[in-house]
Amino acid sequence: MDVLWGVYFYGSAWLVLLIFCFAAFHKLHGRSEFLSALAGYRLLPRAALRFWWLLPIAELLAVIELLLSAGQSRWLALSLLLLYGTAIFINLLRGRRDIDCGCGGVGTPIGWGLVVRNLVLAGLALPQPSPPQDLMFSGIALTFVAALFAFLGYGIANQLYANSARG
Amino acid sequence: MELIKDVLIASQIVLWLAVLSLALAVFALSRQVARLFDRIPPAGALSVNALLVPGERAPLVESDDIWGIPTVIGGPQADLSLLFFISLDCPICKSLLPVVRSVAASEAANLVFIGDGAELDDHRRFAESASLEQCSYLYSEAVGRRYAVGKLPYAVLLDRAGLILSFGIVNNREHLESLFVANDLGAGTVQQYVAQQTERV
Repeated sequence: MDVLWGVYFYGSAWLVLLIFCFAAFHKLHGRSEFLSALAGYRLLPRAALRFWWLLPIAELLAVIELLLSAGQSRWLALSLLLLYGTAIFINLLRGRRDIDCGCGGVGTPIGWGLVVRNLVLAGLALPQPSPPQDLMFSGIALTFVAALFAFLGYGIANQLYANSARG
Repeated sequence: MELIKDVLIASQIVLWLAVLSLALAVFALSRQVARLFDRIPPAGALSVNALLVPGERAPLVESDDIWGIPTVIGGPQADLSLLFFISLDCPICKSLLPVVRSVAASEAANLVFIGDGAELDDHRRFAESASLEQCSYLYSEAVGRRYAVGKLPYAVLLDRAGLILSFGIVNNREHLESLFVANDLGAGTVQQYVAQQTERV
């Protein structure tokens, strides 16, 4: 079962890393959309919106943290996921359902599904002991395809969720 | 024993390739579905309006717009009027801006934006950033109420005499164009237009 442990440990690290790469890229690439989504949350004073870029930078730092610690240190990722989930949670409690989540990719209105999604991802980013043994080549290959599949699954889940808000 | 082991390993590899391919296909399908939703107007949701009736006189509104220019909605006008109701919280409203301007231009209709929510300054800032300085832009919740606008983005088309031609929730270019075509076809609402389309097909 050490192999499964290794696959989960490194696979979850890669999944979180890929998700944050995508999220940071999307914020920096579509900055006006992100900015208007961020403003829509109504959680920051107007003056603070100027520092919107701190969020994608933090996401990139989370990626670097994962890489440098070989998957052992995931604190930034965990914090950001919980932060975003809380922001969505607060706005859902305020009864606002029409704002865009600003998550990246397709236009998605906020909803409880996003809170659940972030909690699941946060679970992947919880601190965990690293596996005792190194994976062999086949283990690494397995981890790679598993992480790739999980990332595709993440994209599918997001798209289906966004579709359900419209159809 | 060796052969079985090799077959099992080969099977695993093939299975993973198959699973990845399927995941890719499912992802592509989900994107296709999203594009389909763009093109299909939701049945019955488009033209719910408690006050407006096609063919009747539109509520007359006289007010200064956010640029300080006196603007009149309703009553006799030189061109068709396309009223586009938006709010700053509505991402579809913003993404539709270039489409609305292009449709209004090609149909030679006078475009009037009506925004509510937030503050006047927020709307001015937004209008400047979207290069709407040449467009009529009213900041008024009252107009939205008088036109019984519920969900956004919402559009209302008026003729040169100030009569209501068509109206409805619009999410894309086809919805907007259907407001003009609805009038041509003698259908006052997008639902009637859609019903006519499906009958024809």
